[in-house]
Amino acid sequence: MDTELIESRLNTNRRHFLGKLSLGIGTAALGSLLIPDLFSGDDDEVFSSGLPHFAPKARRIIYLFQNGAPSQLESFDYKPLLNTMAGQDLPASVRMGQRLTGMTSNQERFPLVGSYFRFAQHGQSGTWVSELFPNMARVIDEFCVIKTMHTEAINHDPALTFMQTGAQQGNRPSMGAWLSYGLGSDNKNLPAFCVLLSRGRGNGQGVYSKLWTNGFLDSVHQGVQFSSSDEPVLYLNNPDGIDKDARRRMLDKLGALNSMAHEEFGDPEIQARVRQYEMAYRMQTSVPELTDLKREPDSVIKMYGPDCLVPGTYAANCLLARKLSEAGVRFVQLYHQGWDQHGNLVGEMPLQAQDADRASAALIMDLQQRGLLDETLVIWGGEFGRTNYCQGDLSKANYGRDHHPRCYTVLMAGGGVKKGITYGESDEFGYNIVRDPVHVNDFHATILHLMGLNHEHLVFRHLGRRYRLTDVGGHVIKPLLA
Amino acid sequence: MLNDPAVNEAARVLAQKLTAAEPSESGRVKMAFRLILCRPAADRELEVLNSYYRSEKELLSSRMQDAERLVSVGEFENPSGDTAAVAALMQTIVLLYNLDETLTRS
Repeated sequence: MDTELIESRLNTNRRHFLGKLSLGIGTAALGSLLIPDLFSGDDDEVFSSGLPHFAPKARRIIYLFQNGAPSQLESFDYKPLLNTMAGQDLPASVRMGQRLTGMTSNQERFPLVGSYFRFAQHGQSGTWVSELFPNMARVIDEFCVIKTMHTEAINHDPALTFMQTGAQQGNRPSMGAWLSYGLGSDNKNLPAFCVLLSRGRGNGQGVYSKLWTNGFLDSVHQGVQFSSSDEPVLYLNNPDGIDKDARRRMLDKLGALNSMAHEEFGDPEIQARVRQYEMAYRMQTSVPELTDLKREPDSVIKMYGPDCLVPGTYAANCLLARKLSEAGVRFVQLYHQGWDQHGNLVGEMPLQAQDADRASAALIMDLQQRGLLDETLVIWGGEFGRTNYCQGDLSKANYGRDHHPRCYTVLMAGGGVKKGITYGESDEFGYNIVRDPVHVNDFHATILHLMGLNHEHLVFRHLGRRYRLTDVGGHVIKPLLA
Repeated sequence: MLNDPAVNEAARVLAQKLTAAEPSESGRVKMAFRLILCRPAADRELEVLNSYYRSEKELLSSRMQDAERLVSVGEFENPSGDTAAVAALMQTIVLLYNLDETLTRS
């Protein structure tokens, strides 16, 4: 028994030693591959850009996540057949026994319902856009409309988590964290991954910090959430009686003590914490400058609309996203809540669209005017689509739509994406995909490709195997690339 | 963690309690470390902390306004005393609260 105990302790020690060795050398080697200047002696270089796998088309991403799942049938996927067949049942030949959510699976009937809102063709591309999005319609030629997104999840939380992390469980790194890991930051005074939240006026679904987690990656890659209060980053300001010098003195001693612990234990997370504290120190200067939207010229304010001066609105966040992105933030993630129209779609969707339409279009124009659209990838869309049949009571004036993961629409613009095209085709019922499906893994692979990363090579070893954003799937959708 | 008023108030109150309980200044720093990290401090750690405490106390003695503003955080009862010493100890405690070892959770 004693011998076994001693052996077990020796084992642990050897395991610890080997673990430490492989981690130490592994991280150093990987770090130097990704960040060539890592060993140049300057600590700040850790925040410089990493090397992409090949020439990138886009340098930065702004993801305008429409949280709650906006209906594709009232926005960008025009299905007049649903108007002519309104009130008739969804044919079994179309549904093909596919699963529904518990919210409508017990309905006796599945009456089809067409868009209450009119559609028209816009731009040289002649893309169909509903009357709810007049401003986006004006810049529709900048967009690539993907009509055949499909996902594996049927409820908000797993679907949202899947779109953001490539897995439904919520323990994997978010897309922004992967990009921060792969490409580093272009601005050492700001985090590479920033998160902005806004609430809409429709039925909302929550967002949680696990959506911008670093997962098993180093903590410096986690998204930094900007809040909508007077202080955009909570507790960023020094307390009363502490000035910049006093803060510096404390950080120096804090760093010295943390480094002693790091020498002793070799845990890379200690260094990560030191870097985060230093980042926060630099953000004390960089953030107030950036978040002061009142200094923007009138022409810009006019474009985004008066809401953009109210902190925490979608418009303010779009403008802030442009400023962060312009300053070099690799990935700006917006979440706009309120798109979950199970009922009262006719009442809620115009309000949601009103808030989202103008600022989304303004962001495109703003980036274009600054010559940034070519290198900035803008993504617009939700976690799934909505059913072509009515949930709840159907009347001439109102209806609702349930979750539909089989086929939905996401838009992309800028950063190396073909302009003015529609990709993929849904069937006449807007239920199934007819041609060119785009799975969430494909979507991620394509985004990484645009950023100059091969999705099969951007890996991190964890729990005994290599992980990717696309896990074991994903194909780059080449026809989307400009 | 460095700027959160709750953390700063907790540091202020602990600093006041230690000041009342322990006459020696280096003894207060040592005791704060023991209380927060649940282990005795190593000599080299104490060296860093004591030098920080001393220089902060000296600076704050010449800037009593800053010292007053620091110890005025929070709503817990606030007995008067050697303000510069309390403010310097409070800063040392904020530092200890922010060590990776203090914050580490698994």
